[in-house]
Amino acid sequence: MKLARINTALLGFIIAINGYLLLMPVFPKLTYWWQNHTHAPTSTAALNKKVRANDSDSLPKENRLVAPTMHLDDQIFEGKDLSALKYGPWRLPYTSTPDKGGNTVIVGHRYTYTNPRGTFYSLDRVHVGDQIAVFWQHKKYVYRVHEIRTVTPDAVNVEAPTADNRLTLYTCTPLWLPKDRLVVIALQESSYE
Amino acid sequence: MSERTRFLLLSSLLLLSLALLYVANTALNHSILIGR
Repeated sequence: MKLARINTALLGFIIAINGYLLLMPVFPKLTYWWQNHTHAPTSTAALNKKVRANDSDSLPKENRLVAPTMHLDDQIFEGKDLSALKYGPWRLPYTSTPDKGGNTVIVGHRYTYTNPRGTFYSLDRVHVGDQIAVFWQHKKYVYRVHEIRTVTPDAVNVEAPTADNRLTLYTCTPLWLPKDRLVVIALQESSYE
Repeated sequence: MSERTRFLLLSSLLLLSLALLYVANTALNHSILIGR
C-alpha cells in the first residue's frame, strides 16, 4: 500500500518534469501574445514610446537595451567571459560601445531552462526598419534595423569593427537545434542626451 | 505487474527524465559565440 503511494508520486514527478521540458520553451510565445493584448509595460507599443521619447527624465541610470518588437527592455551586462550571459544581454568586451561608435555587439541566449529564460527568444520577430534603442551612460542611441541574416558559427566578420556606427545583436537559431546564429544589424539614426 | 516492478520502472523513468532535462539545458547553454 505504501509502495503504491510512492509509485503515484513518482508518476506525478515524471509527468511534471516532462511537461516542464516540453512546454517551457513555448511559454515565451504565450507571454508575448498576452503582453501585446493587455498593453503591458513590455508590449511593443509601450516600448516604442520609450524609444521615441525625447525627455531626458526617461534616461535610466544603467545601460539598457530596448527592442520593442522583441518585448525586450533589459540591462546590458558587461563581463570578461561567457558567465555574464546568465544575467541577460552581454556586450562583447572586445567590441565597441555606442559612445565610441563602430560596431557594438550584444549577444544573448535564445532559450535556456535556467535563468535567463530567453533573453533574445524573440529576436526572430524583428524586421528590417524596426527601431532599437541603447541607453548607454545616460545617453540614448537609436538604431534602425538594416539587415537580418542567418550565419554559421564561424562567421567572425559579424563582430569585426566597422566605419559606420552600428549595433549587432545575435543569438542561436533555430530554437530547438541551435546550430546557426541569427544576426540583426541596425545602423545608428540618432543620439539624445 | 507488481508494485515493486512498477516502482523500479518508474524510478528508472524519473532518472531518465532528469537526465533528459540536464542534457537539453546543457545543449541550450552551450557557447553561442561566433568563431569560438
